Amino acid sequence: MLELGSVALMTLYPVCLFGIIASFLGGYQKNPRFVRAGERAVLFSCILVVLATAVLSIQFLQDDFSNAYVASHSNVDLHTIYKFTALWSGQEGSLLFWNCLLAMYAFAAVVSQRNRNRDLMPYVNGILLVSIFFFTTLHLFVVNPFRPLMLEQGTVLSTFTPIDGKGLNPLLQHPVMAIHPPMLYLGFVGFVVPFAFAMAALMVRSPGARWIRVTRRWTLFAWFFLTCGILLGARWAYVELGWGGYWAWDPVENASLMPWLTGTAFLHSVMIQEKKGMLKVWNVSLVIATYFLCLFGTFLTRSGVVSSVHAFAQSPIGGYFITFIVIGVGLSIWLVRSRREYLQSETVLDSVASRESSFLFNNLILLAACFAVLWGTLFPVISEAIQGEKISVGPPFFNKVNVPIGLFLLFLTGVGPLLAWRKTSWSGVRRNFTWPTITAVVVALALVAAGIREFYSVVCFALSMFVTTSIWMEFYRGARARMRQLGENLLAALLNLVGRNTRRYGGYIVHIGMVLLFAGIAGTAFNEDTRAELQAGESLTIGKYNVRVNEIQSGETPNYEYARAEVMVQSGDRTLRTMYPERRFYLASEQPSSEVEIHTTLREDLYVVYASAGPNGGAVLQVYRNPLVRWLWIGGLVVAFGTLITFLPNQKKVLA
Amino acid sequence: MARSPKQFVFGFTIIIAALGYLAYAGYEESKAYYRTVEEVKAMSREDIGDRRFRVGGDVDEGSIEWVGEGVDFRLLEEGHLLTVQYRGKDPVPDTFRDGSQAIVEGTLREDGTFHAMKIQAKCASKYEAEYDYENHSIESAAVVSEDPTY
Amino acid sequence: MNWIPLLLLPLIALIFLIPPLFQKRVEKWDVPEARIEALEEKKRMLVVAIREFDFDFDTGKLSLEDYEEQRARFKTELAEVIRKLKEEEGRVG
Repeated sequence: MLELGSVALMTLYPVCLFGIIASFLGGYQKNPRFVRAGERAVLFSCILVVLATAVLSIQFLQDDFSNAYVASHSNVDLHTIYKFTALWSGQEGSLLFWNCLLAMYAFAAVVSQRNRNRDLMPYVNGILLVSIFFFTTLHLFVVNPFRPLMLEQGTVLSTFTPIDGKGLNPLLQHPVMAIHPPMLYLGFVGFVVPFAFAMAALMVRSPGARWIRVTRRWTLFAWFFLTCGILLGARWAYVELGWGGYWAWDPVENASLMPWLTGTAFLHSVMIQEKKGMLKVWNVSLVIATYFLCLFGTFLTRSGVVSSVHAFAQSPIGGYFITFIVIGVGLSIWLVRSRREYLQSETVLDSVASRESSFLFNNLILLAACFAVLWGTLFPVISEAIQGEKISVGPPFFNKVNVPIGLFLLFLTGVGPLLAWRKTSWSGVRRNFTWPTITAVVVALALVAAGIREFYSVVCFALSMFVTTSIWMEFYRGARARMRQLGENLLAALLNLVGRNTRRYGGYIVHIGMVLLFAGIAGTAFNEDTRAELQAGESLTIGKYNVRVNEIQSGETPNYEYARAEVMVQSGDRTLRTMYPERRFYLASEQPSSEVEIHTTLREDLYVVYASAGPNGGAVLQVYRNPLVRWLWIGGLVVAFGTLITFLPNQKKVLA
Repeated sequence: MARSPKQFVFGFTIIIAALGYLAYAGYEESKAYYRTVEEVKAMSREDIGDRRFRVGGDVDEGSIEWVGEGVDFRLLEEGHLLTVQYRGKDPVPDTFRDGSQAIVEGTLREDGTFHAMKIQAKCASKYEAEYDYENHSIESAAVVSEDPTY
Repeated sequence: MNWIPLLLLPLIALIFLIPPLFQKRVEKWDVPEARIEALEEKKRMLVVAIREFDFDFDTGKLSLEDYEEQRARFKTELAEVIRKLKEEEGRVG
């Protein structure tokens, strides 16, 4: 088995090289023979990577501990599902998995586009193969997933197959962890396709927005998975890590947020190029930035460069990644510069009060956020290079910058759709802004009257109302126009409205989801928490809840030892439920782990952690009351739903 | 963006300036200096002030003492020991235990104990700290074969 | 394990990759002419813009003066692009 995987990767190497040469040469000479051979190289590399990944999966499922990677990330008693997910639990496997997804994207791109965009495809193939080649280099020379486990006896090395493996990190033994990394990776990797098309368009000097149209769905697809991946990561942190929150501005989280920010900017700014022929350099730059931030994110996640006290000490892949990124960015910038006469704007901006200007501000602000996150994440590295002093910045830095940015974005979300393209006159502004402004002010006043004084939260809720009203107006007015002109009933009018322009109305649904998400985040300002050691029979109070410990239990299973509290949660006289917050100690991996209990309602979450056994024999409970958290997850679902709508093709006029 | 109206330049400048100011304020509030245990021990009173420091090392075996609202332990780095008192708001991470790698952030007290407000312990999935990549296979085997159950 | 069956994989690679290099079939490249493509692009852009603009007016987002003034501008631009496109096509074809 091990050898089959190795041979697949070793074959992949020359296949990639051959394909790269054939593709670029074929494109340059316009020689279809070379181009076709290059296409086949892409298809065959996909088969090889998938084969290698399948081999590794089978080794996990069969408990083949002769493979060092399997031995150190699995054990016999592990649940079958987690044996499968253990594939991406370590460096070697996750890079192989990444390459596997990359090759699958490349495969799909070739199959779907090879006869449509003949001029672009050779270069697209070449660029995709370069990426695959890079990861294959890592597999073969740095972090090989098919390394036999060796035993050192004196000076003799021999292969060795243990009876059991070291086991999977218990934190990763969670259902969310089974789908979060694949989704995140599908998002990260997916941006390679728009990137490859953008570069190919530059190389062949293709004018206009063809590459944008061709890759629109690919971009959305990647964005969809990146969004879901980030939210699932937050969800995992919330239910599994046991510190009562979902986002800590950890470098690993930031790594996934940065390409999301530039990707979101890209999704918006391409519309200006498609509609007005402007911002061509900008769009190309954004797609370059997004792609390389994805790679950079993988590098941050996998090398531990920032979280480590000793930079670069941990993993040799860092140097490879940095080299690849620096060369890639350099070449891309050079390409953009050398083609700048093809990238001139066809029109100019007419007015500040226009849809395109709101998009410009949206882009600027998203980029500012990305830059702030990048700066903060890399601050220890930057400060060491400049001042010779390693300094880190914490959540206050990120929050101070990103909270106003988020609110401004929310504002633009509401304002953008209300402005017309090119120019909106004063009467137009009055016509469209009256209702949203009134509802927003009413909400703000009501909140202040209710005694809420947190400035940002009040602004956030008021803006949420503003956006909701403006989007609702968009739907209502569109439907009303159809009802008036075509005599449709309300439901038919709404459905046809969305169906006729899925991109616009799907986008609005995404915006509604973002509003809910923001509301969930704004709830953070009202979080409460308390901690106490409780004996059986004692209780504590938080918010309207009374948390009472009935019994403290301990015991063991074959997999872990545990200590837990039976906790009864009451609100007033009503008993809501019994909880069992638990602390486990996994035997195979010798790791402790907290099992959190959460009582969730639309209003707030009650989050109970068994922190430790107290010095006086009681249970130390840490209890959080987190308002509105559920709206975050609901918002995420709405965002996902809206994005799926934008995938649908527009209905033709005939149906109307 | 040639010939962009003046209002844009003006608007962008204001936004960037405001964000720059906020970034600076956030930086001042949360900056923490990386120091080794040895450096922390050697610092004079003036150097320390009320600055925040970030120190990393291994949790000294057997030094963990759970107290009601936090944990006391010693951090070991290259032969130097630092006494740490953690009384932060967040629960101690699951990965924190004897021998694990930990990073603490906080201030230094007059008596030389470190008052930590944040604590991070390295977990295998995200950081994979304990891997020796040069001799990966050998190290894994050594770990596996040490265990008497095999 | 016996390594010889594993040589199959590189062999398959060769069999799969090499034949296109010697294919007899001549394929034509239908590469769009750059200036025509650019104009087509612009035409498509304006048509979509006008459609959205009409829709914005129908839903009451624009005042009548705004609508009439802007729409006239779009129309002249579109006419200009179509004229150029005809010229180019005449020149090429």
